[in-house]
Amino acid sequence: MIPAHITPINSPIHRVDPRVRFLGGLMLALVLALSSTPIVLLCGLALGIILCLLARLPWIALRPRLFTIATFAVLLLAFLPLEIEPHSTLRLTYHPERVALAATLILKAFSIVLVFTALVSTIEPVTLGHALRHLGCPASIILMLLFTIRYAETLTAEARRMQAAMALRGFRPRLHPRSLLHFGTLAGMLIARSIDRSERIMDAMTCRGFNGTFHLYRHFAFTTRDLVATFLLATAAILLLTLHLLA
Amino acid sequence: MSPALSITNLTFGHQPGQPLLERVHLSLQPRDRCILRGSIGSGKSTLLHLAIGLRKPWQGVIRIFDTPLDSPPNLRLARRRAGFLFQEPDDQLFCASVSEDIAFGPLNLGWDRATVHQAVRQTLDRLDISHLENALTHRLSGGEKRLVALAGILAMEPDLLLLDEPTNHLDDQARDKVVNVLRQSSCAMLIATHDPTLAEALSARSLTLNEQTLHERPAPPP
Repeated sequence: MIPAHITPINSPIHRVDPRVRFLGGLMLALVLALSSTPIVLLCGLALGIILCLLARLPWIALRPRLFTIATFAVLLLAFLPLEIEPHSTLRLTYHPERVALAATLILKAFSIVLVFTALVSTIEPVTLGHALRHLGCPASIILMLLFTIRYAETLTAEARRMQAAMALRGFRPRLHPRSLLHFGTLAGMLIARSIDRSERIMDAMTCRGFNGTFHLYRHFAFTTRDLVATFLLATAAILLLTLHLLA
Repeated sequence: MSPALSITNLTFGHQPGQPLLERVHLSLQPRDRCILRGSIGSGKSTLLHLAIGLRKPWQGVIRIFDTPLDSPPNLRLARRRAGFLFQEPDDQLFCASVSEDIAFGPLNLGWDRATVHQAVRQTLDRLDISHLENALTHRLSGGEKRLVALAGILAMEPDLLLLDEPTNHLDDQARDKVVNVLRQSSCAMLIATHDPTLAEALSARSLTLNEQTLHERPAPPP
């Protein structure tokens, strides 16, 4: 997910129903993943760039993702055309025709990442959980997702506090059996505290009437804007699919 | 009128053969306010946990508005009328956003969406925290967490409040806010606290948990 503090919340993409954005992103990603036709992938890349511009994504939000893909692209271009000759351990042969394959894979990766970043990563994790539940995802999975969002930071803070307490009492991590033992104790304590916490949370839930059904508070309204967005995203996916079939 | 909370001849301990509470009796009438004091480890939190049915007593009967806490259906019935505030707000705020957390109880009570929405807004207004409606619970400050946790139980419109250290770790401003909300509430209250001024602020009677049982303290001057 893209942290909320570096993304706008009022772009044309942000105003669209999260369910439409998720399904649209999934549909486009599927078409792009299945196609190896350069024209389709180039159109997908252009679409990804347009969607990112519409979502008003700042460069700082895109940079880490694109940098990761670029690293992968360099490795792919460097190693995919090489092949170790059969029955020889050291002789490498260069296959220039595989550069096209590497380029196809790179185009695919960039276009899918751009489309998914613009449409799905801009949804707040909590909202995405609700949207997925409304789309029919099993309640237990959504509950786990929402609890992870809620408690990941609390548990990380707890681990940091324990590490700081160790450091303040002179602990310096080294590759030493005693150091490893302390790290083991830290992990064990964190698990034990998390189990205790989970029991207390269950108590708190029961006290407020929880009987196994997790009711969703947030509901989405499907407006004309969402209908237009659905139409546009579906048209884009159908056009890409038609291009793929024609090529 | 039936008492909001009645505890008769309660005995309980965490270790077999070592009772923490012995032959405890308590009766709390509707609208009664009662402060529970005692040293650390005296069993204040345990008594509150027993009073909401999170622990089973070794001996004795606990009733919330005449409903004995002896079976799961009775527990569900009793908890519809009693709100419990945990000592650690992070344990109570399990939903990702503030509005969702406040709506959790009312939704479980089977209220319709419009009523739940109205209850959430009203409770937020009542505690003067409307600006936190869409905030994420793990990003709140300690005082805000405490207020949102209180909002979560007040939204269920309980008749009995069991509060475990409601003013712990609060700055003066947040403490005054909590005290004001409690003062304006018409619920019966049993509050475990170390805050020496809370009994006076709420004009509540004071009980001390000492040597495994409850002792009445003289009421504070009006």
